[in-house]
Amino acid sequence: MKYKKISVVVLLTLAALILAGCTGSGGGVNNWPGMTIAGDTAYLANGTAIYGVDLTNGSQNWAFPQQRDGGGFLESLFAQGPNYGILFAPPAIEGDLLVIGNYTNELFGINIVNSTEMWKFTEAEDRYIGGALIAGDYIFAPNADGNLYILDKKGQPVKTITTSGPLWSAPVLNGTVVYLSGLDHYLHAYDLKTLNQLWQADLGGALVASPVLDADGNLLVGNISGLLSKVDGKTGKILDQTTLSGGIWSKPVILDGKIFIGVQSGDFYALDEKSLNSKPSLINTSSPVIASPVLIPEGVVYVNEAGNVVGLSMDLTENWRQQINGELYTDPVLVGDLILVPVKGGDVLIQTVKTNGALSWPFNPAK
Amino acid sequence: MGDLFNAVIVTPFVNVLLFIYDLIGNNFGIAIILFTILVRLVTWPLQAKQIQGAKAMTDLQKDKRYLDMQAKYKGDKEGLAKAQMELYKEMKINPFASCLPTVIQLPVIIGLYQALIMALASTNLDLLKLTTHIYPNFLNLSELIPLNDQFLWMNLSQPERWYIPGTEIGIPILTIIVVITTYAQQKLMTPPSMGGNDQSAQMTKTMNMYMPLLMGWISYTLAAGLAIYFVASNLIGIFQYAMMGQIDWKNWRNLIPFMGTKPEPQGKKSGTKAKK
Repeated sequence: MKYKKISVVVLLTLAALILAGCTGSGGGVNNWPGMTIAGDTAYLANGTAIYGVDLTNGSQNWAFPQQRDGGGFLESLFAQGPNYGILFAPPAIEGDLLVIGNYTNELFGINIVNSTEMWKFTEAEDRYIGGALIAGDYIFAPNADGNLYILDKKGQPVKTITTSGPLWSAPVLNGTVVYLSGLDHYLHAYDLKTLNQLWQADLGGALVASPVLDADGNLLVGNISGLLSKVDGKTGKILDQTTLSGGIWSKPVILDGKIFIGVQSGDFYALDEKSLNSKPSLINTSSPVIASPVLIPEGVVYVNEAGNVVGLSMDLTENWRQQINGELYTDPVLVGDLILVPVKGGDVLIQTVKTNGALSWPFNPAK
Repeated sequence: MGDLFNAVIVTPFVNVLLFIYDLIGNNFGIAIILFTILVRLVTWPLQAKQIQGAKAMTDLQKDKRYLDMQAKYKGDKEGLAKAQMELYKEMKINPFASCLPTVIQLPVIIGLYQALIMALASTNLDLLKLTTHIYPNFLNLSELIPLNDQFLWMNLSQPERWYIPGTEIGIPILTIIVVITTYAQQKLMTPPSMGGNDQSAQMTKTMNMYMPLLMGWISYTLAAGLAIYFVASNLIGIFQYAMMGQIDWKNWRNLIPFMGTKPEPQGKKSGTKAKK
């Protein structure tokens, strides 16, 4: 009888674990890694840890917290050391200060030199999905509770700006103006000195991607319904709009009068910067393009959900292609002649590809 | 297989859930409750069959012939099984009548659960997956996102806590309600035990004790929207059971641990004596 009792308890526990597992890794939390480059190191937030990767050889040269690893549900249960929650936002870095928020509503200031927590801010009521921005004397930390928390560099709150919806993307700085996309459909602009709102523009759908600035100080940003907008950076006036074939999840890149952008339907566009509604050049990549493209001397590179890394010339002719095991959602970054491609659910966390298409070193956390 | 399950069950569920959300003015908590009621109504004929089947089995276990048979074939499993099958046939009872509807309902329950998780998208990846499940001609993505996940004092995509004003002490009210309603449902819907030594009664007792705790643990750690679903589902289950006249409200004391009436030992009620 005792064994039957035990078996019932074991079965129920397994059922509970399966239910918890059904919601993604780590008790209902799952996302793609966030990456930031600072100096010779790439900082990659992936689950319960941030890893520092030496860009010269792909070795791990830093970690926070130092004793934890793994981003999976079971790994997080059995991981050792202090728990800093689930970290997927791209870290914000200035000097020795690294700022990152987690999925249990905490924002941390971390000393990169000794890998220790300097301060913790706990007033938010929801997750930190997007990265923070360190600009001037302040840290701008957008939160899913709809607030933009502004702190000084010691983690003390300075001001809280409330918007009408969750904030999932990192703010962008141009001179003395901070721009911020919101799921509330608005692009917001704030003065860096007064911290007051300058304007907000309704862009017709949820904005999960940060805006990008063109040479004239105008902003380009797309929403998840596929509407790409060009907005006057000074006034917030909508200058131009076009609807693409799928949702826009990342910022475009601009070069030589062309805007390069991939969308959820799998199409990859080259649009005329002067008129968004001019007939675009277009290729279909057969898989959602969620990450931003990256510019290389020979053209442009896109990555897609199916694990393709593809080098194109400026007229979108394919020059080379690599297949990586895993899904590619995080924006790749060009450092020297290496393209860093963060990977979700693959054999490695980062795969580097040379600008000629040859594979270079991979990165996995040290055991 | 997973794609088929998504296409046939999860995706339609997600769209209906979000349609209700849109229809009632963007209240996700009410949408979850209405959606749970809708699914339980649609699966009502199956649940009714399951309850009837379970009732028939419970009645059978009270039958004198059944009790005599237990005593007669004690230690002879094969003989007991054969005699039981004959009795089932004679009384026109299908022993699997209560199992089959449960098996059929299982994908619906799992689908409902997954649809709920999907709709509570709270990261980029979750939202990306959600958008692939929305029928573009049925729902307008631009109007739907961001989903309003606030309901009463709760953020439905976060574990629920009610904070005592002026303190940082958070009380998991919804978790407590889940534990209570799960316990009540288990107690009210479990047929009364036939005796203290009955193995299945012991198993049921263990289930009654641990199931509410596990549901409570899930509610404590996962999104509040799920806990809302558990509470709604438990209360609707009790209501449906009561509608079929299966609850004896006079035995309310059974709901309170250690206050319930103790079952009579097997054989005493029927006046039979176990054969050696």
